[in-house]
Amino acid sequence: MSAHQLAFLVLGVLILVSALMVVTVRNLVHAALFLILCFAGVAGLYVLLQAEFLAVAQVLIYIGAITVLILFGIMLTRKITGGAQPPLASHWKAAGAGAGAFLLLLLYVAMTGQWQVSDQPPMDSTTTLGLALVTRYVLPFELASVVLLAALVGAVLLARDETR
Amino acid sequence: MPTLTTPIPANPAADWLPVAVFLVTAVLFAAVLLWIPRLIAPRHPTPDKARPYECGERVSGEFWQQIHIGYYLFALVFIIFDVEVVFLWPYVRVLGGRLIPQGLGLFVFFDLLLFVGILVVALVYAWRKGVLRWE
Amino acid sequence: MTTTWRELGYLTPELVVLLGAAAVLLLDLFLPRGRRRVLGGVALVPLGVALGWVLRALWAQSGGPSQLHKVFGALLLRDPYSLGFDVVFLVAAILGVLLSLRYVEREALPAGEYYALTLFAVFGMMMMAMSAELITLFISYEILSLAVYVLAGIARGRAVSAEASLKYFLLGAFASGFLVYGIALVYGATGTTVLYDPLGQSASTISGLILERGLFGNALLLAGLALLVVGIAFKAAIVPFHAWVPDVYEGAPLPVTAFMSAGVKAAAFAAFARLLFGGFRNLGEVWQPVLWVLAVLTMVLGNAAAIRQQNVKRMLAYSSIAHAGYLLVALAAYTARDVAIGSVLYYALTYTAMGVGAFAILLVVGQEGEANQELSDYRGLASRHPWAAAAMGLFMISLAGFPLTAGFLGKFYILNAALRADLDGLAVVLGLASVVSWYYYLRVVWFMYMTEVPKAAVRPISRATSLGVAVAVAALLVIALGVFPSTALAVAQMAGHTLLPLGY
Repeated sequence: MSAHQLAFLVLGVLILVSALMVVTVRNLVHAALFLILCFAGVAGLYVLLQAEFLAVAQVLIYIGAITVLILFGIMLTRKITGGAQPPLASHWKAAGAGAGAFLLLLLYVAMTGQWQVSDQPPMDSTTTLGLALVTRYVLPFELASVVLLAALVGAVLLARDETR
Repeated sequence: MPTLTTPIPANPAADWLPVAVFLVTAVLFAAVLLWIPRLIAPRHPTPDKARPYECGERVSGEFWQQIHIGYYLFALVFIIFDVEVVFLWPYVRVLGGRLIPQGLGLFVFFDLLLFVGILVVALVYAWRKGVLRWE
Repeated sequence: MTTTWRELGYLTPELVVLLGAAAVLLLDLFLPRGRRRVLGGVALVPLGVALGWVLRALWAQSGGPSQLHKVFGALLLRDPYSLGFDVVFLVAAILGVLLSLRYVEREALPAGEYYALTLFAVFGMMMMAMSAELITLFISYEILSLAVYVLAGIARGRAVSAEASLKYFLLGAFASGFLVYGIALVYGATGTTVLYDPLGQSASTISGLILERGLFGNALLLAGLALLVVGIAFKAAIVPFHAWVPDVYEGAPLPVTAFMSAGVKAAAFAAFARLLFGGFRNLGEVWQPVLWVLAVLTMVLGNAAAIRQQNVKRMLAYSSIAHAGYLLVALAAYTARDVAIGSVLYYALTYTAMGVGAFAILLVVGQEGEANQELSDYRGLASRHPWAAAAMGLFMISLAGFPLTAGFLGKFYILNAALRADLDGLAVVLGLASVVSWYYYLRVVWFMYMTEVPKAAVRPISRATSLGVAVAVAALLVIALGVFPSTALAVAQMAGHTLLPLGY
């Protein structure tokens, strides 16, 4: 087992375990903290794939902004401990079976499918991305800014105080 | 696409080993500092000592208060502009070097201007809706 | 640079709509309180200008050979197909804004954001119809989705509106997740995200690579295709991904529901056709049976559920699921694709006119806070307000598919495509489902014309000019498309042809 495979194993276990904890712990703040751990694991996976820019973006945006937003949202509610009920929905057995079947299907696909593996050496991810954004993917780049604008307008509209 | 001249080192493990060491050290440091007091510090809990600390005052009322909505709106606006910055970073890397094909420089500049311009509209919206003000 | 300017020229209607959205937003921020009423009118301007451009471009192309332009490399395609769907989106949006003018004031909704988000949604729809590449498709899908999630919940005072928005958002986020997963798997299998090249200039597209490398049985590709279908089918309200439709359509403000039922569905089908007939056309034998099953399920469930509804708004919501099923029959007619795609476009236009018209009458009859929408509230409408009842009657029989109406012709062309593709079973189901739908559509007509209500229980209807104009336009469209369909149909068929690659 190479260092690469070992790192992947460790990260994979980290991600799966923390994701499981996110949906099963009763204290919402603890769930958010486990989510941070999960995101950190995903950032590690990006590093293994030699997409360093994505890893940094993951840490900056997901851990730095999104989990902060989640925590603020949690603190806006009054009760953070789930109380007597378990955090799972009432029909979790059926949902679990469905998700499990989907997982098996995806595993089968991942094992038997033929992936297009590039034979070129990996390049500096930030510069490559930058060039792609400038030449080929100009339009999605601009569209992304429209998405952000629409998201901000919508979110502020729904979240702000109606005193204005 | 033009060829790139930035080679990736043949041994990424060597590059990331310091990061791994740093992470492990940080975790161990925090863990050890929390564990040692558990070993050697005296523990004689009383009801008064277990109450939350409020600068010597007696505690009263509900502990868990709903926070000011401004925090949430602040984080919301922060996410949008954080994503904008992350998008800008690859652009900046490319503009700085000499990798853009000839004649495309002005186009790239206007491209960037449009991107930032659309998000300036977002900023103006946030400003005029009082999100940037703390009531 | 000149090529870039020319390429941007092809995107004029989309840019006009986007600039309009920004203008409405900024205007709302700097206008004093009392002047907000002008925002609706301001929103209509870019929509009208865009519609004019699109119609002129379509007219210019209907005589000569179809012109197809690749914009920004292979990412977008400016062809009569996208122009045709732009007409549908813009008509839905203009009618929707007309419906909103009085409603937004009466219910005190935030006007600036409302119209800006509507324009953003239209922009997303137009981009979706043009996308020939999966990433662009996804981003435009997201622009549309975000705008519509917020619009569904914009009536902040009402709990049902917030519930609708939340349900739509949560389920929609899952659908987006499926879509992205599908894109990732397809990229993993082929190495590119470009769907197809209609001019046949490049073979490194998904459809080209499937043929070249013989990826017909590739598990990755098939799983990716399945997930892509799931993601788009959610937006198109196809069973079993329809769970959000009744609650969201019922909870959202009426003008938003009207706009969503026509526009979002049309956008989803526009993307669907490009996906299936463009990118994955070589896998037709794989996805056709799937669409067959989905179409049957959708038609049956949509109609069966609509029968049991007493609330007209909810009934129209379930019936819109049924109409999605009819559209899916056309898409399933893989071997008759030269007529099938045109019939999808034609039906989308007729459904927009009929559906939004019906919702318009709901607004006319409805009262403050969206009360007064049960079937019983339509009793004796014919004797009290003959014009409103007549318009509603027209929309109802058109939706049911009675001859001489646009609805009938739309279904006729779809049946034509299905029979040409030897999908006799599907055609039979479509016919039977339409007959079943007569029950709940004619029930409204019966209540309006055949029952009476005591004077004391009569509520006044809304006599707003904007509503009247919207109803009149919708009714005129329904009659025109039903009695003089030839021009529109010819344009739709021509547009449908341009979707398909050369030599297809």
